Amino acid sequence: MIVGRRSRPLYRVGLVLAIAVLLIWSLAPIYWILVTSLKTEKEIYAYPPTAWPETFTLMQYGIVFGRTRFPLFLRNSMMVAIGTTIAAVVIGTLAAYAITRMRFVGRAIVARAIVAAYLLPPALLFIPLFLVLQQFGVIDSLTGLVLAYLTFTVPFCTWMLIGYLRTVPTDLDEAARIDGANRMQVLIHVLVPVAAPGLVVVALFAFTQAWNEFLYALIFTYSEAARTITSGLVGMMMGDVFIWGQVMAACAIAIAPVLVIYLAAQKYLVEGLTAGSVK
Amino acid sequence: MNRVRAAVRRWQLEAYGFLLPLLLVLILLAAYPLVDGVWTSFTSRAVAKPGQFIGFANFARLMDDPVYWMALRNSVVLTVGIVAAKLVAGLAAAVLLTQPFPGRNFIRALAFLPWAVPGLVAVLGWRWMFDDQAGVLNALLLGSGLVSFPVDWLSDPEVALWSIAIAAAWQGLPFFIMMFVGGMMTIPPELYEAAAIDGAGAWSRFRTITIPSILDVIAITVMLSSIWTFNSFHTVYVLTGGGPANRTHILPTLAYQYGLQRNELGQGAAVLVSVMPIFIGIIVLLTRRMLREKGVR
Amino acid sequence: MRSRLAALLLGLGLMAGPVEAADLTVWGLQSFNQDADAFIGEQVAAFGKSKGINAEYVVVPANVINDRLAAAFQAGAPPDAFMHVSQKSQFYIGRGLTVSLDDVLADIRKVPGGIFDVHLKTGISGGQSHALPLEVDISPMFVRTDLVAEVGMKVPTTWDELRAVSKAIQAKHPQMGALGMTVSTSADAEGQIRNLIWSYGGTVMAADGKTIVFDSPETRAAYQWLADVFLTDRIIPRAALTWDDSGNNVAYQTGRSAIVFNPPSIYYWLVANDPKTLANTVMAAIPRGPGPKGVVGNTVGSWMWHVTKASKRPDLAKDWLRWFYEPGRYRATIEKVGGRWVPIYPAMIDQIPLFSANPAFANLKALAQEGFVDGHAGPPNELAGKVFDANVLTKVMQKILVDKTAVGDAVAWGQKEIETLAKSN
Repeated sequence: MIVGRRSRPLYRVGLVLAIAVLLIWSLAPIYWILVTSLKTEKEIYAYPPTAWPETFTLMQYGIVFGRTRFPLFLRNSMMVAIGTTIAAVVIGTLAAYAITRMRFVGRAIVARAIVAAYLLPPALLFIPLFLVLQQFGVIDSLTGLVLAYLTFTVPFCTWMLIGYLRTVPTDLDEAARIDGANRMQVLIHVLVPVAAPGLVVVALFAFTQAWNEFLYALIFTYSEAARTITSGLVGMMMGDVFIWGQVMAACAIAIAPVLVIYLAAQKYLVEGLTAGSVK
Repeated sequence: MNRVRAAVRRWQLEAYGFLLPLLLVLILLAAYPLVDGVWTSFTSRAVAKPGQFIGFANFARLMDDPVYWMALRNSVVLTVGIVAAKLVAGLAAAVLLTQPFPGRNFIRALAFLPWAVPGLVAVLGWRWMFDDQAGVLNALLLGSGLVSFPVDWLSDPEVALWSIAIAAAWQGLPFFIMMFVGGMMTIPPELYEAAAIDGAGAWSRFRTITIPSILDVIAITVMLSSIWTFNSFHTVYVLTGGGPANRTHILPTLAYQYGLQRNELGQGAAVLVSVMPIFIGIIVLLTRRMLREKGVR
Repeated sequence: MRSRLAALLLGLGLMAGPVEAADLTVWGLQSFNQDADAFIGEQVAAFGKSKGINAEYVVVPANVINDRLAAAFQAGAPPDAFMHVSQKSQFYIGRGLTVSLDDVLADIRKVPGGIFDVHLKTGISGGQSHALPLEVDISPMFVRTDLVAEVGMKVPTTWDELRAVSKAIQAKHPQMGALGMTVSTSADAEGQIRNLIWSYGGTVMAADGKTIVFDSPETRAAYQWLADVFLTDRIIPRAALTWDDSGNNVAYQTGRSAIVFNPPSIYYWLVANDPKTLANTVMAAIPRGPGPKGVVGNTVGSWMWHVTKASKRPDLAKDWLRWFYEPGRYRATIEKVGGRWVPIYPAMIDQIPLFSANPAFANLKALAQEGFVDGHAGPPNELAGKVFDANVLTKVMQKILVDKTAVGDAVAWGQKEIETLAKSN
């Protein structure tokens, strides 16, 4: 509420214009991906390009599903994202419980390590992590990708869950402890139900991060059987002719799951993201 | 006394039980590769060749390598430029989206939408729009008569850096807006009202109230975003692949080229290790700050 | 919200299932024809079936095959057999990653009429063949005759005529980039700069395959020609600086360039999609260079099959090659690719109407036999592969076109780079 005299017509016009500019900037590229994916091969390369498909077609989607390995990539992405999500949330919950509810030697160091690992950029790690996954014998496999994705999802989930668990009053679990429950029981039966909304948000984040990841998928998988949508998409783009219709259709499909998640839980995600970073 | 010590020990052991999976991930998948990567950078390791310790030879080669310096320059210029642009645009957009108007939440959701688009998909979309032959941007510019020749969005090295910056800013801006909107919503309206009564104009209120109130948010956002932007491999990889004439490489894409396209893993690792000290510095700073914010010590 | 997530996860989980790993994996380069890629894939599958195993064919784009092979070899699990361009063969052979294919070669030599064996040389190590050519590449010049006629000129036969024709077309159609030469560092660009240099009489190596004679007046003149048409005439599209191997295809097929150099994948596409442009297209020889040293610098290349040492089933991989080279099946593959691949069996050129009954493919045999191979004027040896791999010739070009380095300095730099490569092991 920085601007005060908001009844002025000039202010209103400015406001509407500014919103329009912001929305065009944010939405135009997404719109263009969708529109391109619904055009025929010929129309895609027409000059000038058409703002709306003259001949509306689902042909590009047909090619993507019928003639490429994209369905396999889609399935791989699902498996990797779900596997990563489950592992990251479980590991993160256990660790966040220890950090927020227990006093132990080295707690400060562990907390610091979690944040540092969250901040460590994947682009600095890709060559050594490749060599390490190769040593472990999990290179070029979905398992290997899940392990690689844990390097950023686990610290992030732990960090966010620390925030959530701290908002849960300790009287609750202390009461349960007095009643004779052990720590694991307290965590599962008392804290998890109370922190469930937080857990869901964290899970959605982990899923989104794993689904969207590209660099590790590009380098750690080289056979078709282990490729995910992101690395598969780049394979589709390179080297062939007139591929943009298919690529844009594949892009639209790749956006869909995260878009659904986003639309369903937008408010919580934004709160979680900002809180996870600052609070 | 003995009982106390036993209890303490038991507590510790139990805590580490809960922490074990986390520690495994941190040690085996983050710390170990990090150390291994530093070691690799001092070896002549290549694809299908174990290599041997060669001291600082890889780094010496980088110091003599104009492409390395170009990539370092690009990394720094792009990071500073993109983060600065996101900061200014993010503040402006956050002010806009904290004005009261009908449908505000819906508009916010739309403005945040690029955040939900996978980064790779976003750059593919931009690459298609930048396409010199059938791209929509050139069609719009030519059609409106603003230019008389197609703009070489991705093949003129000077322009290509701008194109990379635009695509990266598009992906990164929503995070800034979200953070700033979140920060601004916590400022009590009374502060503004009091200032307005004192006759402060909009700009002065923004400067004296808004900015100081969210200074911490700004600092953390900028630092986080700097790390991410510096390492935005996919943007350069997809848009230009580092070309033309290696003029648009950033360090991660250069490391990829040396390590995997030219098969010299040690040399590639050296590119990454050469900037690690900077990141460790930023990470130590930021870690301290974030832990303080969260009250975990 | 929790139940919604559970339902989502459940739904996604149902889509997932185990992925079967193949018993035999074959990697192939994209043939620029999806039908042909699919056809080879079917053949691999059929081969697997005949052997009672699960065999998989993976199409890899040329731009990323180096990276993917690097990752796969480093991980110790490369494909059993893979295709690559002949210039790269020695890289893998030299590191001991491949096995000898002499037995397969002996079999395919028995086919009546033999094979074009100019490219066998690139696969030799210690007297044994570690890589076998699976096709011959020729790269003619595609010219839009309607646009040439419109400016009242003829299809160019020299580089100077090419420049004049392109300039005239460019003047008439300012929105075009009349000459679609690839000036990036892609494989196509490597080929095209060689066309130009060799036409002018320049070479990388002397006939001994060792002496580096890159920096010569002829090489400099060739680069000067390119600098003039790119920087002064501006008839090459700027975007060609970053084109991948499909950039010139797209430029020609969308009518944005009037002249390009490319293997006949363009021909195949026009046949399938654009009869009008096809009627206005000729495939002409590469232009001749100026002066007494000037020649027609046609290049021929090959894609090669390799079988990896790390393969658990090398004999099956070799059997796949025999399956592939079996003349009946091989001919079907060549016809399916539709002109992009010239058969390695010379006799087959006369048997396939696509080549024998098509004026567009006249002289094919001569081109395939007499074209320059990489490494010219020497043999296609390991050093030639290194020069190709390190993009020296295209880097010299980009220094001139992007960094505006003087032609003499850039070529001198290239000479030094090649000498360094020759010294490194």
